[in-house]
Amino acid sequence: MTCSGASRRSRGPSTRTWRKLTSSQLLNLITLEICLQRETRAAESLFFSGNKRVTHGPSSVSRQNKSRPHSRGEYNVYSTFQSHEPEFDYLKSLEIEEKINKIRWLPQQNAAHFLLSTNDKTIKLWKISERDKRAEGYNLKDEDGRLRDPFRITALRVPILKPMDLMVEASPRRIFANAHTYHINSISVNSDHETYLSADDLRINLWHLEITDRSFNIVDIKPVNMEELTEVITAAEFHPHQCNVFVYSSSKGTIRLCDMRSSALCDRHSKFFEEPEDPSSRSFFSEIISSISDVRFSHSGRYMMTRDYLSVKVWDLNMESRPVETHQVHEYLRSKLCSLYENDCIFDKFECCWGGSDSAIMTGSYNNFFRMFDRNTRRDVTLEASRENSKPRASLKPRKVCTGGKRKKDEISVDSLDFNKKILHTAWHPAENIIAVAATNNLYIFQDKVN
Amino acid sequence: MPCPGLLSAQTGVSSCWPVWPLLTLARCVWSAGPGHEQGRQDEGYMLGKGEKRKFDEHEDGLEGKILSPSDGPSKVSYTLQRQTIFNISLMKLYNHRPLTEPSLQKTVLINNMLRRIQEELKQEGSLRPVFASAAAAAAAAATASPPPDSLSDSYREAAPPALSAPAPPPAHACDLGSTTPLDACLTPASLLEDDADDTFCTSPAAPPAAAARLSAPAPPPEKDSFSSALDEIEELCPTSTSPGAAAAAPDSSRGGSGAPGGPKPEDPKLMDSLPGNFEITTSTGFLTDLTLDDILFADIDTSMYDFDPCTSASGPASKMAPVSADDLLKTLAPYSSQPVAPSQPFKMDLTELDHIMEVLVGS
Repeated sequence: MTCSGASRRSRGPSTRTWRKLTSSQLLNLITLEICLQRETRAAESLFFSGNKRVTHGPSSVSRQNKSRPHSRGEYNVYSTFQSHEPEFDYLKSLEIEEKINKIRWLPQQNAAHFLLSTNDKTIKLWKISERDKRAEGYNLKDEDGRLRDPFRITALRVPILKPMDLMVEASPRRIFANAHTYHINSISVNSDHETYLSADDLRINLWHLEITDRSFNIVDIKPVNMEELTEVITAAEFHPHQCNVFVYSSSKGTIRLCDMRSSALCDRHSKFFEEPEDPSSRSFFSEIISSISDVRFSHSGRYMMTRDYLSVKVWDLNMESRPVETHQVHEYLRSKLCSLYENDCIFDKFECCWGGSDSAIMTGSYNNFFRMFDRNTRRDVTLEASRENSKPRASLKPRKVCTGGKRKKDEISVDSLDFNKKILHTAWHPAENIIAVAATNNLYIFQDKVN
Repeated sequence: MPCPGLLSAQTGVSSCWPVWPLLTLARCVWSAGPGHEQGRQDEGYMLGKGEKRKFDEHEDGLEGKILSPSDGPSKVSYTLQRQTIFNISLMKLYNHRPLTEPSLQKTVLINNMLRRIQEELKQEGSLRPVFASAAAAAAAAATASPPPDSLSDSYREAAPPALSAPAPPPAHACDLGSTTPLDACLTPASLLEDDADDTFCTSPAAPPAAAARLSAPAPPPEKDSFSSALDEIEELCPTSTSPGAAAAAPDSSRGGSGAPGGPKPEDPKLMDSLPGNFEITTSTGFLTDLTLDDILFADIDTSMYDFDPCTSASGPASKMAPVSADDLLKTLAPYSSQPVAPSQPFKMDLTELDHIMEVLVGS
């Protein structure tokens, strides 16, 4: 399926036809990320879906069948394990949910995969390893595992490796606990592959992957008097190439870039990104919809993208005064903000992601719609992830939301949107044009169609 | 174990029964959303509560356009929208009964929204006692805040028509929550009509309106009995507006009792009335409420007010939170401006409250 670099640039996402590969798993998905395996040229995609409630099944990892790397077949569940358990905070008499907030893969260094997963309070490092061979013919123990009497051994043999059914093991390697008073919303692995940051509402901590009993606090915005609190941290990420740089976004729509070389406690930012408010669109909800739900660096490291409630903005790291691009995701919701405030949808945290070449970006919306924007051609497309409307290998049809009075055929009116069907998590393969889209109970994987 | 946890998970100022009519009112107002054109009843659709459109004329004003205070004719709808948003925000803060910690981001955003509305109201010259009791009672229906004098007349004319349209539904809404008992605790309409000096309109379904009416015309004389009554109560509970307060829990519960201290609402105090629930109340907060209960209402059987979340399974009952003494105080605050001894209104209305609670609990 691979697209060559040239063809990928010449065709934006709106001209591509996206084909649904499959839908799999019936879990509550809250996050997914695609990790590129360096070893295999076939670029198997591993994506991870975290789970909300234990009743629906533990967190699981899915993987394409190894035997047919580019097959059009099903994605099967690769591994399933329970990452976190529910806990109870006795001091505050409150439950700590086992719900996983974020998952991040570590860059792969050997055959095993490592990932960090976090719930509200605790981060865990998991090792996922495969076993598809076992040794037979031990000298000191027989096939059942019982020890053989050494005096009975008359001949030596060399154990041989025999294939077995693939067994995937997940084992917790590190547990990073008790460092966050507030709910963890982000984790980000540093480009040095040794450290990572975890961010909660008011603080950001820096960890070393090997050390679990210590973390450094690098950002602290907690006011002395909590009554004066008006702004919280909503997301944070390390720069993809510069291991001393990270950004964090706030609930007021600002992004601060910090350099860890300047001071140990990065309360003073190096760069401050904020777009001045447009007075003509000011409303009661201006602040709430400006709250940034996700911030992502581009693969190149030169840009970053922020997602607020109604739009996606691309910022040049060299220009703090305003974003270089603003893409409207669902502007038709602007007149419905009061209702969305009442039913809490206005607080939904949508994520966004970059395409492999940074030329396209993608984010989710309601009614199982997701949007892709081509930064070069300035075109955008709305697609739907649903069973009914797409069959495997069928091309996705662009959808349109009708805002005005007259509704054309195939358009859907704003009032008919299902606000329970929200796509909060999307992921784009870093090298291929494969995307994963998490709808409430399904995971959809789409692939660029090669004509 | 979870039972005390559930109760203490609430903020010190828990929602109380007057919020009920507010809830139904808000649903009523917003149920006539555009989503009902197709008569959808699903939860997933926008406010699909299955109610027919009631006031189309307000749709545009509330939802359709971007309102700014400068628009003349739509100022009323702007104010109406602001008030509704204010109510919704309070509902969100005080109705939330999570087993886990509530989201700090959400709380901060809602608080900021309330603060902004508060600032606007202040700038418009709204009277603080009005606001304090309105904020405290959290039962403001469609009450519009009093504008500066120059606009009062036109405002009064404009507002009653605006309010009279939604008035029947809110009345119904209130009735849904509690029929006679609620009316019984409302200021009789006769009292409302008496005062010709009103600079703002009232609606029969709004105790805070009564409070506003009573306290607005002559704040200084009213303040004395009002504030002194509340000062007495305040003295009983340790105020903890200083950051160095030991536990966070007293903060939030005192935040609730700080609200009735409205007549002289220094900003920090009024800020306290917004939930100091950034620090989650612990069981100590709950116990502090009980202390106040013991002091003031020792002769009342408070078992009715102690909703045990573990046993209440029915929808309405589980929606109603345990009524803390703070809430009772706040709902009674309007009445303390009667020229009686401070303690009397409490006793007199508590019997009514008893009756109300009985009906609401559904005994």
